[in-house]
Amino acid sequence: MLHVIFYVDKPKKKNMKRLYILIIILLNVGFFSSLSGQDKFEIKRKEMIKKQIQARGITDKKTLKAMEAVPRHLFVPEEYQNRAYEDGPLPIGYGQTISQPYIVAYMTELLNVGPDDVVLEIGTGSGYQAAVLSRIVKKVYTVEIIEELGLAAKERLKALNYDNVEVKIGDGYYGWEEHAPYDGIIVTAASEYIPPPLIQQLKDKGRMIIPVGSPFSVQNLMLVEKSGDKIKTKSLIPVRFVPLTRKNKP
Amino acid sequence: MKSDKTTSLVRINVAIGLISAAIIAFQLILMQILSYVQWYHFAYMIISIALLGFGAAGTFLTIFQQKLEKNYYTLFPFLLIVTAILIPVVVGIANSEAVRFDSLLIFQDSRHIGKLILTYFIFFLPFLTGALAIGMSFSKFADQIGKIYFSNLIGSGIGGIIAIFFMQWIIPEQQSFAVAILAFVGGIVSLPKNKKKLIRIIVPLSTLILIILFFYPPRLTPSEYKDISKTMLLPDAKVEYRKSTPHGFVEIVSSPVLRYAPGVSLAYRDSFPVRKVVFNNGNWMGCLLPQPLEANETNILDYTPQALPYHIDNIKNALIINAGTGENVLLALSHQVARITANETNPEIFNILRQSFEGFYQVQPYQTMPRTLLTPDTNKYDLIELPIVGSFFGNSGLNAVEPRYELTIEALREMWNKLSEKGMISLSCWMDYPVRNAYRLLATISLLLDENDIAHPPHHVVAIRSWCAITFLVKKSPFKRDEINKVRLFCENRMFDPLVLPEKQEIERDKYNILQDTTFFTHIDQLLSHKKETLIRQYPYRIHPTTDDRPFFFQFVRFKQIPQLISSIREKNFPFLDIGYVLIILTFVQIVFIAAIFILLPLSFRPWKSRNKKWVLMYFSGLGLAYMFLEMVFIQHFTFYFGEPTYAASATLGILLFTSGLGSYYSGKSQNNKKMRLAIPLVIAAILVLYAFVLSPILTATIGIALPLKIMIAVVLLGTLGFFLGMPFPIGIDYLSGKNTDDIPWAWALNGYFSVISTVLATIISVELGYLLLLSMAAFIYALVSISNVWIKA
Repeated sequence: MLHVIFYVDKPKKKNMKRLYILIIILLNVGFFSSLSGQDKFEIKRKEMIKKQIQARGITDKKTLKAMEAVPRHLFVPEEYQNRAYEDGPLPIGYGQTISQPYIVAYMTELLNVGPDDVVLEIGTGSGYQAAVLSRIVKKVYTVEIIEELGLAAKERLKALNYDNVEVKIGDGYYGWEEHAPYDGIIVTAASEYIPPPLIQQLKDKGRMIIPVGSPFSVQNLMLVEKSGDKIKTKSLIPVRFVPLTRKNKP
Repeated sequence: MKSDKTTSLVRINVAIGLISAAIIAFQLILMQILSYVQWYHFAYMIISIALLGFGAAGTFLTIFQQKLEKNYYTLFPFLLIVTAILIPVVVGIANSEAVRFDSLLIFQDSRHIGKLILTYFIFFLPFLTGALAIGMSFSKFADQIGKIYFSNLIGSGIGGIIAIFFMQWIIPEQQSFAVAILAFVGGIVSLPKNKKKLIRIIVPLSTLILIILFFYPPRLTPSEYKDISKTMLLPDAKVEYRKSTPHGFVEIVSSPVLRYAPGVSLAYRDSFPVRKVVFNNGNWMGCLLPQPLEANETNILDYTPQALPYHIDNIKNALIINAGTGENVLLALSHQVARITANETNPEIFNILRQSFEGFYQVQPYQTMPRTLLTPDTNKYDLIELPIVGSFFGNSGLNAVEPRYELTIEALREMWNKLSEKGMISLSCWMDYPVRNAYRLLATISLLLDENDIAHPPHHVVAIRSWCAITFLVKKSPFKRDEINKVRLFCENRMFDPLVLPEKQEIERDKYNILQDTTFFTHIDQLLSHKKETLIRQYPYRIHPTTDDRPFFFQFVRFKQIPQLISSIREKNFPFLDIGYVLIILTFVQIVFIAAIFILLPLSFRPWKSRNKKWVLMYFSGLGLAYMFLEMVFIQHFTFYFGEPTYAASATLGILLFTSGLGSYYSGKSQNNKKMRLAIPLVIAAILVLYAFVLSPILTATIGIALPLKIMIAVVLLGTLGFFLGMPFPIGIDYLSGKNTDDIPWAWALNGYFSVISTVLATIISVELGYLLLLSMAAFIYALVSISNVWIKA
């Protein structure tokens, strides 16, 4: 686009203003269209961090850094890539969804894990949550019951070099006993029960996070904390829901 | 009309009866199919599409009236045969990969909005062609309108009964084909005898197409977000049993990883049992109990809050409402309850229940709705237990307009009266957020206690909370100290928290299960206090107790919230709460415009010269609007009366349409004058005013009598009204046919337009204002229709 300028030889004064505007527009169009797809997604990802995640009070640096590094658009079906950084869940097929970015960040922050920790994920889905966690912890073990989803996630994570993530196709009910106990467990495939083997495989003082809610709805988070024989749960509310209930206090 | 040399009027009448039957049967079957592949609320879309077909046919007829009438004897059978072919074809296309939409993706993916609109138009086609054939006949035989209208209504009435038969005996994939045969036979019957060449081509060709359609039936694939779709993705999942019923499509699925432990306590450390699961229309209904059944088998539900009543008292006589496949019955059995009465509405699920407990003398199962069982029942129960309300941490928004008569204040009142002195009602719900289910249940309990002049409501209510569910117990006598201690012990052993307890301590309310939003506790206390009205009024969602007149337990959206919810859809920030009701509002808006485009707009390009525009407008619009209002009101009343939603709807429509047909036939014989036009709508309005006062009391008083007597009462109540309802339309058309035929298309179109919008409008009115007001509105409209006759200029 720049060579447009060189062909403009002493333009008449009255047309100058119009010409400059045209050049500026062309330069801008050229600049944005010359951005590679990757750059475009990077910009979107930074916006996502700022407007959706930080704005809602997520401050954990490890989480923010991981969310900024993982290319979410590569974890959604091709037809939804342009919407990967929107503020909502997206379908990934087989009746499953990839959670809203804020929920992924919130769960990661709540799990409160660090570089020496080992995490178990039940319900790999697209592999996005595992990828985010892999940037923070030593090892992520993830179990997916739907073979097609599990194999696709395994390939994707391998291709993107998430070497500290291990995917198993199997029944999440049993967890992954060989690598237990875990510092944290995320159960993304919420069901009407919490399997006892998962509670057993959680370390003492370890945390388990379960997002609950129907597909595409705003999900609530259930935090399960183990302390010896006693187990406590905490029901946490996503930020954007709060105004709905606080509107009228009795 | 004299007998024609090509096709006799008798054969035309038979064909009209058959196509009318096919259209109604197709409508009902399509509603069933959409309930299976999508969710129940699309039933409203089908009713409006069918009526749109009739409205658009009227307009089409107006524009091409002369050409159509000229070729009537060829076109009429042709349209019937085309309708026959279209019926299975459109079901196939709408369920194909390219066209199939998904309710849950409509707000996520704009392609699904396009697919929904495409589906709408695809389904519209057979209704248009079928209705065009009927409309052509109305126009061609305007002087015999009474007889033609009679065939139309009788056929429609029979269509409802045939649909039930098809749903019971034919697999869902082949049901549309069976309906097509009706239309096809109608087409064959009405083929003109003098066009042998045409017969030689059309009959074999259409037969061949139908044979192909029979061998290649449509594939019905439920939404990937339905319970059954998700279950079928599990390893080695297989469908072990399939049965089509008028109540839905029942399937039993097994998988080695299909476990059952709904909301079980975190203190439960044993393994969870693997069970076969029963689905109805793709929705989870319950699971099969292990066989052979042991009476003392430890039920996993003993580790849920629902087990509480068995741990605080010795229950001797229990009533399990809507027992499903029988988990709660087994829970009662495992606690040695001496007599267990259980009901289940769905006959197929009831068979499973009955077979599971065969040989257990303690268990008495009944296939009926809870209210039909309760009203005549003279037993006194120590425990009346209702099934858990809502869905696991989700919402039941898709069921927003499904009436739940067992959860109304009238139902609880009846249950209260059936309790023994120490008796309890147990009501449980899944936790939801924002909280709606628990507040509505407690508001209903609180009102019940007020009505019974309970001085200290908190002494009669106990509630406990697990990590995902709440159980409320409401007791006839105050809870005693030792019972309160037992509640505490039960909670401690299972890591539950007391929520409502006489002499409770704040500290024990969230010992194990902490809530971030602690206003929940304040609200719970307020609902049991004299300040409850303030909360019910101010809470962002509707949580007031439901009544028989407005029995929509899962409808929590306030009407004023609709714009806010719709704008949140645009921002892709939609929480999917109460989506069913929002979809109905959106359907209404869409129908108002689409129907206007198809029915009214084409007519507006033609000059309408008339001295009676005002009368035509009022008379025929009013009839369209009020008739559908009434259908909705009576379906609701008789669903409550017969306790069988599908049969009740078919019987109501059948009796109304049949007797309307008789009325129409009679109107053709009677002297047609201004008095009739004035008097008949007024008689209808008078009957409706009377029904507003007596219908509910009559039905409530006779709900427990023998079925044949109940049917007789229904025939008398509906038939009397139906006879008069069938008269005003043919009388009006007959008047116009003798005066100004230019008015007829407008009369037909206006009637069609208001019928289309009134179906969905009636649902919205019943949700917002109740069925009694809907009935009153219908009476008012009929009075206006009568008064409108003063505008007629000779």
